[in-house]
Amino acid sequence: MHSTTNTTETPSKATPALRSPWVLAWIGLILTVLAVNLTFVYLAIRTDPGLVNADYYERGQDYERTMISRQARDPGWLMRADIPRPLRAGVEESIRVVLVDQAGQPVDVDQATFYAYRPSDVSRDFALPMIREAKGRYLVETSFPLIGVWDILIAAKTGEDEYSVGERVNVARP
Amino acid sequence: MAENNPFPGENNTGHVWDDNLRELANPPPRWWMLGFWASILFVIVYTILYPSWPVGQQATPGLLGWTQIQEYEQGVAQVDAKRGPFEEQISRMTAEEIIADPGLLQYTLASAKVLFGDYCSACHGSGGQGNPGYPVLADDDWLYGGSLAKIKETITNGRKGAMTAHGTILAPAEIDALAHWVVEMNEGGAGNPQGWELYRAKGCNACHGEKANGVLVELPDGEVVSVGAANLTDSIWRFEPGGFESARHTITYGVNQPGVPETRDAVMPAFGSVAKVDDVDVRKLDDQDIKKLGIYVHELGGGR
Repeated sequence: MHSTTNTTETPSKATPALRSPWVLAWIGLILTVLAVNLTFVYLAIRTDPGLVNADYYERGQDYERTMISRQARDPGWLMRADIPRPLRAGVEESIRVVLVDQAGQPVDVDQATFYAYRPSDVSRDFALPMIREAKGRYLVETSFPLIGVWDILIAAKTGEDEYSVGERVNVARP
Repeated sequence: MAENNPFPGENNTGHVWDDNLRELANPPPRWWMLGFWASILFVIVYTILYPSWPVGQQATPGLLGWTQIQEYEQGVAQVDAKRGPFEEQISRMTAEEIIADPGLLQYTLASAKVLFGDYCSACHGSGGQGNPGYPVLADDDWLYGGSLAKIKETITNGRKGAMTAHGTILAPAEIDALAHWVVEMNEGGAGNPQGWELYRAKGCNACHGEKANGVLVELPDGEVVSVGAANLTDSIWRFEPGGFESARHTITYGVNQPGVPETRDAVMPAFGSVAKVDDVDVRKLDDQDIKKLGIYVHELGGGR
């Protein structure tokens, strides 16, 4: 007697693991994450600004002495930077710094320099000398080439001493 | 080479290397040739229409008569045409009327911002926030008054502060006492009675006012009469960083005193005046610009 129903299940052929879209998607995801990580590691090494001070250890040992001698030499000048807002990439702006002594009289320095540091890419850093506009007042006209964060440092040098004022700015789209 | 060509009739150039490696004289693809001729045609048409070939000092003018300067001038004319109605309104309205009209005020502020950047920001800061030695324009502390009329007067005629150098008039102890008294009031105190006595006895009140607030007379309409002397009772220093040293310096050497090298320099140029530039009379700012700047400064936050 023949059976009218066939209950025998044909075993389906197992898909090889590497053909399964789920496995492939997961592998793809992991590879993407790894690739992004590797890119960042590469960029971090490639654009690392490195140590700012080469003799950091010796300076650290002399820290207290340096601070005391600096305090003793500090003439109590007031140095104020005027960085116009909003800053826009590629748009030239006038950036000024004004220096007065303890009594409020303008003072001239030997040299005033404008530094712009790009925290994420040392190759984009730039520095410009500032022009004396009036006694104690210095000007630089410049623009920032890229949008995003920049660290501005204005340093005034007179003899051996250097005074600086810094500010972190955000440059917007033009 | 060609006479013993091993591959005759093949359209090769006769250059054969390594027995059978040869250069064929195939024409470039049709699309490439079309592009080639089209670009040549473009150059010919372009040089006929636009200024192109340098001939002597000039270039050939081109049939269209286009010039760069003309395009620039057209652009300027377009901008001027847009600004025209606003400028015309500003010229016939008073500053008070302009402030009352929100649309016109917005235009005036945008226009004056550029003027402020060119003429004022070097001393008073890009946002009117002042600089050490240069007064803040964005607060409500005014040396010569913060009304529209007073601001206009200041921009037009400039200002020159004046304070006697007291170094030769007062004893060092008296100068120190006055400087301490000024610092005390700057820090919120009422000022010690001896200081007040000295202040009046030495005639400081002639300029700084009876209340030492820089006001000589208060008029019924709220306007004040002053000679530009600083208010000594608030926490604002006319000459930063302020403090005892700074106050003593000002009292000792005065402001704008001829023959005193250490004197304070406090001069604002007259922007309505005429200056000689290459023997030509040039007015720094015209009435329209002064009106706009007056409104801008008034609206910086401290206008009265």
